[in-house]
Amino acid sequence: MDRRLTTIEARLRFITACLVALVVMGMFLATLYRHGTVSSLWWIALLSLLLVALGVWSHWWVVLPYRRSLHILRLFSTGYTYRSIVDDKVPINEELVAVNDVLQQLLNTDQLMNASKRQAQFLALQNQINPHFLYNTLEGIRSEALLAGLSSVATMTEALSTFFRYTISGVENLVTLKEEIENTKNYFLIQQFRFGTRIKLKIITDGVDEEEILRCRIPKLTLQPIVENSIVHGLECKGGEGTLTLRLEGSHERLFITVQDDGVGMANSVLSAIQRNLSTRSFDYVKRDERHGGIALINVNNRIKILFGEQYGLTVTSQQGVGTDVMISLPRSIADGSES
Amino acid sequence: MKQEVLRLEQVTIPPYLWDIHMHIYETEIVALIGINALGIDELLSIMLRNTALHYGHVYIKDRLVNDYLYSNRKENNIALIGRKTSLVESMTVEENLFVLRKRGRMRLVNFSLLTVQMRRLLAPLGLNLAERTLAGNLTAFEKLVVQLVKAQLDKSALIILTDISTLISEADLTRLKPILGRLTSEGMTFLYVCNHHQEAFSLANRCYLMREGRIIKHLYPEQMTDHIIEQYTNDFSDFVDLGDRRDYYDRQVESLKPLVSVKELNYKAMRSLTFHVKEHETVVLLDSDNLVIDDLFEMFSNTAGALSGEILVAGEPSSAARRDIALVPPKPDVSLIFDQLSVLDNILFTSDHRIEALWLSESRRKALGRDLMADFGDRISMTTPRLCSQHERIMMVYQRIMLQKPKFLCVVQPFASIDMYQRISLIEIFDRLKRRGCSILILSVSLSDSLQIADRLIILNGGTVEREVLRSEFSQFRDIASSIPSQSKE
Repeated sequence: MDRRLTTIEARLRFITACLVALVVMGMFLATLYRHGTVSSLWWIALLSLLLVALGVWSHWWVVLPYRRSLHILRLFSTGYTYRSIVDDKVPINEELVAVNDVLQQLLNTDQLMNASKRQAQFLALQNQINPHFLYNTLEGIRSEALLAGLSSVATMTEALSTFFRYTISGVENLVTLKEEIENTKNYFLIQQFRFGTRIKLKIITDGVDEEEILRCRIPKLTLQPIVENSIVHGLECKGGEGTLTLRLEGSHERLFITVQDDGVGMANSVLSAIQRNLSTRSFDYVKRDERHGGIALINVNNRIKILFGEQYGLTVTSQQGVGTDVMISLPRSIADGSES
Repeated sequence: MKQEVLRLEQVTIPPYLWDIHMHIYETEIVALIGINALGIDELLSIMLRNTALHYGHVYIKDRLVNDYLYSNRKENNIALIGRKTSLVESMTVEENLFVLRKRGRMRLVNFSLLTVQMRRLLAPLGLNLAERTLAGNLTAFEKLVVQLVKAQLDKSALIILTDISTLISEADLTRLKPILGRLTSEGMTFLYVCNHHQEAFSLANRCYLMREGRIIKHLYPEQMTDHIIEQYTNDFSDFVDLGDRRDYYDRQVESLKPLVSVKELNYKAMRSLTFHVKEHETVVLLDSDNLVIDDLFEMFSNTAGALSGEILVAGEPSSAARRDIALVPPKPDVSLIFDQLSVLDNILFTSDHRIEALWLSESRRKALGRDLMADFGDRISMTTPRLCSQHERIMMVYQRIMLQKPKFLCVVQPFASIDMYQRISLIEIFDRLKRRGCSILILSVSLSDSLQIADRLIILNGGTVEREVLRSEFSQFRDIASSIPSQSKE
């Protein structure tokens, strides 16, 4: 097939030319028939057959790709997908191909990734200087020291330094799930000095292939921001004890991590806003005020989608009085010793 | 490593489905509980066939079969077992199992060989059928088991079971559990679709809760508790526990004289069936074996004659032609709504005894239509009910009964296959009918939510009355019924 016929506009021109050729041929044969050069009417059947074939061909070759392109454009305009418009196999015309190229440069994955990474680093940095965070942590250390339990002071200080070291270095890296969980445990330990036994962490791993699941690679700082969200917005506001459950399961192709809390849950309006932001692609959140909430979830979601594809990411469900679940869907990729 | 049988990612079909994420592993029984019905049919249809998606991806056994860019409209290897049987009733079980197969190439049928194979497959599931049994002669439970075996023979990746509790009795549901357990151990996977969490919790490994076309909760085994589910069904519990409603039912303990008398009835599986329904009383007749309900309903319609005994309503033989009797069969949205008539005419269908010259005077009908605008809106002026939803059609049936003002109403499984909000509407209608003095008899194979409106429960066993239970004693059915009425505080 001619490479020039890769756009719908070109195909439409080609089909129109075929149609004109058929009409001209029909008129020519009709003239011959009128002059008696051609006596039988076989050519009418032949032309009808060609016309029907042209119709069927047009449907598969032009109408269906046109509908698909239109659908992709609609999804693009509503924020569902960015990649598909670039990957569209049969674009509407050459001009749109050029527009797509420019758009691809604008949507350069590296730039988006940088924006996303910057946001992650910003949040991490903010954690370091957050006075409440430091205050509460140091208060915990002081209380422990007063109570003369030096071993626990050491444990806490170690947890704090390990957490900071992990958070600050190489946000762009992929790490094993085991490492990410260790960091989450560290973070949880620090928070436990503040909340005491009010909050509990439970990790449930799929018993069948626990070892392999823990070796799967995930983007660094995927879990900690979600766990932090669950503690701050879910468990902290709840009176009484609260449990945070990390559930790890996997199939041949996928890794599912679910962060569940039995905290206060979200109001429907807040949940709808977060779900809308997670299901559509936008980087507006980078510019937003941190107080809007849900930034960490959207940031993690966008990083996963940029790194692995649009079919991966976060799903949030929540009910007031029950709690919030955040399910992270990732491709199953096992660490082979070296980081990519 | 777990094998994924089905995975839906961000599946969106406005206005029915929004951002659906779901995954089912091999050998699992996963339940899908609809808090309301919106989107469930669409969700099942995209599992069965690769129809166009607005957005999202569908994978079967880790293979992408459908996405928003291309839908091939092919059927997936997924079996659906529901109220409508997939068996050809005029053919034998052997033919249904081995001849009518998707990729069957059988030319010569050796019946004796097929019977041996059939028995080998059905015996471990506790079913022993005679040679050349017609599928039409099987009980609902036997049909269900045969369909399960057929799906196994077709190597279906997933079997979707819908509305099973409305198809088989509670006793059969208990028998089904080990059968599903056995089939999952042989590699089969199930999606159990229902409206009540009790039946889902008793069968499933995991549950998805769905409301307004969204998955609102993924319940893991330790979360499958009444406490958690109650948070999602607050509207229902708030409604049924309304103080004045509860007080009204509790006051109705002593009723007047009997309105309906069923005396010494013998017909098919019925054995000297005797019971009565008093005026203003609501009685639930629970036939766990599913032996007599259909026949008893036919006898109330006067379409079947008993060998001995009689049914009297207000001292006269029962008949569907009587305007003081209303009979509602299963699925009234299909069987009692006539697409050839307008919405208004459907509603007024049985009101001619109350309004003089109803069918001759269009102005009277229009005036009634204006009164009904508040409940039905613009739908009331539609020339056909074809475009009405299932809920609207059910409401049309019950509005017709409200206008008819019967003394006695007999309903078969009113709470089957409807979502929580529809159940609330129905309970409200039954409450209104009861307040107007109507006696109600509910024929049911499972308790569902019928105890919420019942004054008395009659339990049948083997075609005869085993025992009667009063409203104050309903608490003993806490684990069987979907919901039971709470007692007013003394």
